[in-house]
Amino acid sequence: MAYFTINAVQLKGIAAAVPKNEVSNFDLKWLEAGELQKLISTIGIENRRVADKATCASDLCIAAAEKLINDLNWNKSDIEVIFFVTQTPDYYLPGTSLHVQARLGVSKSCVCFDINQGCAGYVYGLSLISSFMSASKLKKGLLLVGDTITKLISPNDKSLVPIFSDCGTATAFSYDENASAFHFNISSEGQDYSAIIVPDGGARNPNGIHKNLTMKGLDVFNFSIKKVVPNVSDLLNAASLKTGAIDYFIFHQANQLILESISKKLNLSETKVPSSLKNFGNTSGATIPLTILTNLKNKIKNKTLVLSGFGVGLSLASAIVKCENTVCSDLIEV
Amino acid sequence: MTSSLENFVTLIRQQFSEHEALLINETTDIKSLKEWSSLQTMIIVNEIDKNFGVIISSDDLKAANTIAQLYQLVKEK
Repeated sequence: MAYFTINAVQLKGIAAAVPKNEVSNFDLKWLEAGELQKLISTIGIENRRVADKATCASDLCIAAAEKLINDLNWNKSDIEVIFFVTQTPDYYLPGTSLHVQARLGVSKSCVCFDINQGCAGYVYGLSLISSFMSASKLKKGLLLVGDTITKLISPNDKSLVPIFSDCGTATAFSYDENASAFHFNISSEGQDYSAIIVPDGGARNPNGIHKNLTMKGLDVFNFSIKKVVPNVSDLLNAASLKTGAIDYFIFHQANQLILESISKKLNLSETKVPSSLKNFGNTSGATIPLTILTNLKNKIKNKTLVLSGFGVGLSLASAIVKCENTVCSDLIEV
Repeated sequence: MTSSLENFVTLIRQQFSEHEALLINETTDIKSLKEWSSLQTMIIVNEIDKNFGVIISSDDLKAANTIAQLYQLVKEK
């Protein structure tokens, strides 16, 4: 178990931006009414947000970051760290974080990292930016997590189209020696790398034609219902906490069936497990901050949260985070 | 058919439409059913997990050619 704690970093605020374009799963043409109803009730997703051709994850994250910087009354010149977590970068190279630094107008005295992670990406990013800021003592940082994952999905893929949606988020951190520790438990199941994959287009298969996302649905489902529960339980045990000490459990929003299975195995009440699936679907790495904003906007002050992301990699990352005066911005549409 | 196998077949039937359920018995290969889909797979695996505490893999499903064989796999896990 890769359990560790990070001290002296404060979670200051969260913002998110979604595309204006909302599509409804009730409009899916390829299913009869009964099948459609069964699909929607099983996955829990009625509506999704789909970015237009011109909008990238960076555009959504920048919009969220601008809103958050404004709501926190931060000076851009004080931001010294930007971590960008995405699987839909603007370019093959350079890293999107560098372009974002310039587009946001943040100081050149800024450390920029790109991280290739998906559904576990928010917690992965949280662990990396907090570790870096704790070690470097740099004062202010932004974690940007977003994907326009719908761009990777074939419009003919009947399994994936109803699930995925687009979103960009920004989370602000400051160095603070009095902050409560973050606790992490991270694990990797790299032998199952092909369970969720875009097989072609990278250096391994540059000329292949399979450049859309493919997923072995049952393997991913089984990974989720088998591995997430012990990962969260081990994290709580290592931090000497019981589930009753946690105010909310925010899981990656894969689908309703997975969310219900995990909640039941952990014996959690519905009120402790918010969901944003109905109106926003699975937004890849962005689901955790988006779920906080859409469900807990005014409820997280001084609350202790478990955050748990799982998916492509296959990767699994859970964290315990204490929110003190965390600002939650209004959700914005781009 | 044992009562436990009967219950298992009933559990599987409940995951399909009334019309499709009429076609299901212990000798049915669920993969051959018209309503079989990736969503249906997930639903059935979840129901087996909920009721038996056993997680069925894609290899298990491939290996089981009838519901009775699937039940046997669940019992042996």
